[in-house]
Amino acid sequence: MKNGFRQSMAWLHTWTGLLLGWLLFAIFVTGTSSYFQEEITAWMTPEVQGVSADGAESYAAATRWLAREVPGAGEWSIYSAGKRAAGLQLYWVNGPDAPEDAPTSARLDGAGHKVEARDTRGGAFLYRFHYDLYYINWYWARWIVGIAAMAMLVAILSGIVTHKKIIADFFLLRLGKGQRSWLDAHNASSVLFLPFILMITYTGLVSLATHYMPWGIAANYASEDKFFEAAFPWPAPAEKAGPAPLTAIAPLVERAERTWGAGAGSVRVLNPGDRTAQVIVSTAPDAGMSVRPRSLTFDGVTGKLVGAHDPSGAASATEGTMIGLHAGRFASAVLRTLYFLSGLAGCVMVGSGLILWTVKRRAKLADPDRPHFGFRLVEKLNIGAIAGLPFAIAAYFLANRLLPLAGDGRSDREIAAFFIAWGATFVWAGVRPTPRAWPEALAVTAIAFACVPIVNALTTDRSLVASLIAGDRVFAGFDLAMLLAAAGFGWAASRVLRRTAKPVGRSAKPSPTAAEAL
Amino acid sequence: MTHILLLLFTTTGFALLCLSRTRHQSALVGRKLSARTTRHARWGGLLSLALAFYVAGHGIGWAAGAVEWLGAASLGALVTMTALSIRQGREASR
Repeated sequence: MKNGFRQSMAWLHTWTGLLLGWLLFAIFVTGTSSYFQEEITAWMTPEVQGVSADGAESYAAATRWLAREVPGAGEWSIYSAGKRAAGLQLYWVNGPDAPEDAPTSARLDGAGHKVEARDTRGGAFLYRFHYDLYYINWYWARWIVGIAAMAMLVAILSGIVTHKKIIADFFLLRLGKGQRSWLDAHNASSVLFLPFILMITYTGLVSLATHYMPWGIAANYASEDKFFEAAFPWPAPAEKAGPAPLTAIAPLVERAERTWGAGAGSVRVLNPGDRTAQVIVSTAPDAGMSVRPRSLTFDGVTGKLVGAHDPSGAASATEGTMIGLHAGRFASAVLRTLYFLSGLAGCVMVGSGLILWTVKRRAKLADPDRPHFGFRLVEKLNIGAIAGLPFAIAAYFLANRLLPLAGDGRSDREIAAFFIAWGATFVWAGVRPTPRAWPEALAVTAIAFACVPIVNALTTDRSLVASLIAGDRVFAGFDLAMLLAAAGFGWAASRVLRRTAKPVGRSAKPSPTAAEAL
Repeated sequence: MTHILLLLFTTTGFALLCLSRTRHQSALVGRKLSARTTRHARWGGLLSLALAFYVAGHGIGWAAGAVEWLGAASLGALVTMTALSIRQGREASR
């Protein structure tokens, strides 16, 4: 090795980080938003009101609703929207007599009444995007995301080797010093939050491990389906044997919750109203650190316990807990906030790393006024990725409030708004001179975020003021977060603008591009 | 209460560790500290972080508590770093 170990690690860090940095930034931002997935979905379905009802009784109310509305269904599933959001999501499989196009799902509010919520994917879109992307086949998307995550792990480890003075520079953050400051910000966000960043990258890879490394399953099971059947059983309804009344659901849920010492998250009823009926109660996602639910199966007529599933084998518990650490569904409000802040630090790390690539190379350009193509390309992609993705998220929220409620494919048009906004930022970055495009893109993002609470107040009766008065933490918190985001991007835009407007003192030094002034 | 106490202990811990670095002492307290005080600051900082771990484990449970301790430690270090950065900026402009 001619250049020595550290130099070769620095090379590896620079190029793995740059090549997959834009995608990693998108994964980090959408993944970070997913810590508040339930809140985002609640905000995007303002029709669903009320506090979450008492668990056992709300499941019982839902089964009564189902028995009334779809008595002939072959199976019912009732999912709680979670502790932090109101309502229940119902799915059912229609019986043979039902028409082809009969509905198979409904949403109930906290009081157990059916609500016609607007058609939206809510926070689930951002969550799914962070590992399945969009517009491309999920199978290949997961490979692309996996390669990005692997590159991330390589970049983290090579970054640790490259960083010469982790301990000595631990507390160092020198602001307003150009390249020095960018390096400090990049180091601080990664070193201070290293436990989170290492954990999230590694457990992210683990959560899709069976996708990336199917050979363990291939060696031990006849097919992948056989493995999933054994690891995550999902019993099918038996042949019907004749009518019999369904047992009361609430006592079963209460018994299950007593057995676990944790809340129930879903109830599945197979063959309701038949002698072969079964009731399967499963734990809520926040019942433990592992994401793998425990479940109890009851006889649907007598209410007797007939089976229990507890995936607590060593391998399964390790895998479930690693994914649990990644998703943070077990987290309390405080820990969730810490997760979110750590995720933001990850975004800062990736973003500052991308910008650092241009900052470092600008000083060495032969002609700073006419940089070569590769340099200009990186600059433009940085604007599109770093300002464009947050802008796309704001556009997604705005589309949720502004698109007409009626009409098919409404949720698809919300998602289209997301990608149009994102694509528009890339186009804008491409046609405008870079020093102008940075503050413009950041300012537009700030304005878009600021518009979200305003549009919300104009189009619903759940404005920020109304939410604060009603003590609605989810809605008030969401609107306040939008205002904070607007303030953050506005601050960045004004900073960039001030620095580029100011004449540069030393004439020998090439004038810094907008973002580098931050 | 546990959460506030936890954050308090991790921030104190990193503040003391920061104080135990000779290069930061003049920015933080305006002078160099003696070797003895520096040593005390270092051990005090580590002790504070250990106490924070106990508070987290005892109050939240050792599994979720350990996770929250790491998060609170990151935040405590960030608060310390920001405070130091502001003080250094002020010192430089003086």
